[in-house]
Formats: sequence, structure tokens, C-alpha cells
Amino acid sequence: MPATPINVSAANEAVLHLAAADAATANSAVDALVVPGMQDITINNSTGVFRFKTLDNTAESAVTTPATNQLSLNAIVDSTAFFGTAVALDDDAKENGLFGVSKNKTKVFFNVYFDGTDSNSKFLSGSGFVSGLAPTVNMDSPVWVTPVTIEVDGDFTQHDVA
Amino acid sequence: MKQRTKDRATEWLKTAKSKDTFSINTVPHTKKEIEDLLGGKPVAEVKEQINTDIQEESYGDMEQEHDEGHTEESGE
Repeated sequence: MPATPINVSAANEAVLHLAAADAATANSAVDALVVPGMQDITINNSTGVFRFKTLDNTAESAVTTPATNQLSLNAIVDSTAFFGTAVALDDDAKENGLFGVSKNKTKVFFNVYFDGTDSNSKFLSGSGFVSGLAPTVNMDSPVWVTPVTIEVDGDFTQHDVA
Repeated sequence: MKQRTKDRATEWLKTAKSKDTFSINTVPHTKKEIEDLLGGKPVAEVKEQINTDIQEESYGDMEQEHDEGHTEESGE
């Protein structure tokens, strides 16, 4: 059977929403912080491994242990997304921006969309903490770029956009 | 609206019931709204408006320059 690739070349297909209030807020592009200017994104679901040897076997046995889940991405530093809207009525993630939720150690709910945000599109959701901000710029690359890591608290769950 | 969204919405319309909704950028729309969004045919009207703005003189100059260039090339 031929592979069915998920092609993101139409733009705005790989999308990340963040919300501080709850998972439902992360489902809404209007209410959530939609991270702009992403250059790449990686979803890590890395299980640990416990290996053991037995006297009746010539090779090691292995079982997996709970996974370390993490999102990592690089993004252009957008002023509003990074420093926040400063609008009190906005969700805290939107109000305080990436820098704010990292500095304040605010737990965020996230949705990572694989093929857009229209109905039936696949996405992974979860919650975690923003970390690893390291904005950088120089005269040869005169646009601020920052890595962002979301240390996931718990598991990823898979959904389709309703 | 992105072409990809149009394609998905068109496909969805084939089996959608009147109470179903289709989300565009996470915002749900009714079947009627989707039909309205996909239904318009403004392309022909836009073409007519563009044509009325073009001055005939400009066309004449361009054609003349092109003809002259073509003559020189063929002379070589």
C-alpha cells in the first residue's frame, strides 16, 4: 500500500496552539496563542528502556518504561506572541506570550495540528511547560529566532478537529 | 480561503446533513454558510473591471516597440 504523506506545503498546516486556561481554549484559534513564524517542530515521544539479563538467555531482554514527552520548535520572534498582548481579557498564554508563560512557569495546554485546523484534521494535545527560550540574532541573520521547548506533563492524546 | 480548505469543504458537503458543521481554522460553520462560502463566482466580473481600466494608447505603444524589435532581429 502506498504511503499517504501529510504535506504541509500549503502553509499553516503544521500549527501550534497554546492556552493557559484549559484544553478547550486551546481548540479555538481565536482564543489560543497561535504560535506564528514556526520554522520547524519536532514531537518527541521517547520511552525509556529497562534491560535485564537472565541465566537462560544469551541475549538481553527489554521492556519500555514511561515516555519522556516533549515538543521542540524554532520560531521567528513575533513581538506579540513572544511578549504577549497585555490584554487582561485574553487567555494568559496570549496575554503574557511565550516569554511570560516561561518566566511565570504557567502550565499550558497545547494542540499540535498535523494537517491544518479544518474539520477532520489530526492533532495531538497535552499540557506542559514552556522552556528553552533562547532568542538569538546577529548581523548575518538579522531576524530574531528562538528555540522553544514544551516539557510535556503526562501523555499526548490524539484527536480530530470536530 | 485556502484551496486545500475548499477541497475539504467541498468533499464534506457531499455527505453533510443540514445540522452538521464544518470547522475552518477551528471555527465551526453550518452547511448553509459553507455553501455560501463556496458558491460565489466573482471571477468573470473582476476580469471585466480590469479591462475597462486599461488605456488603448498604452497597448499601441507596447505593440509598436515589440514590432520594431522584431524587425531588427529578423534583419540580422
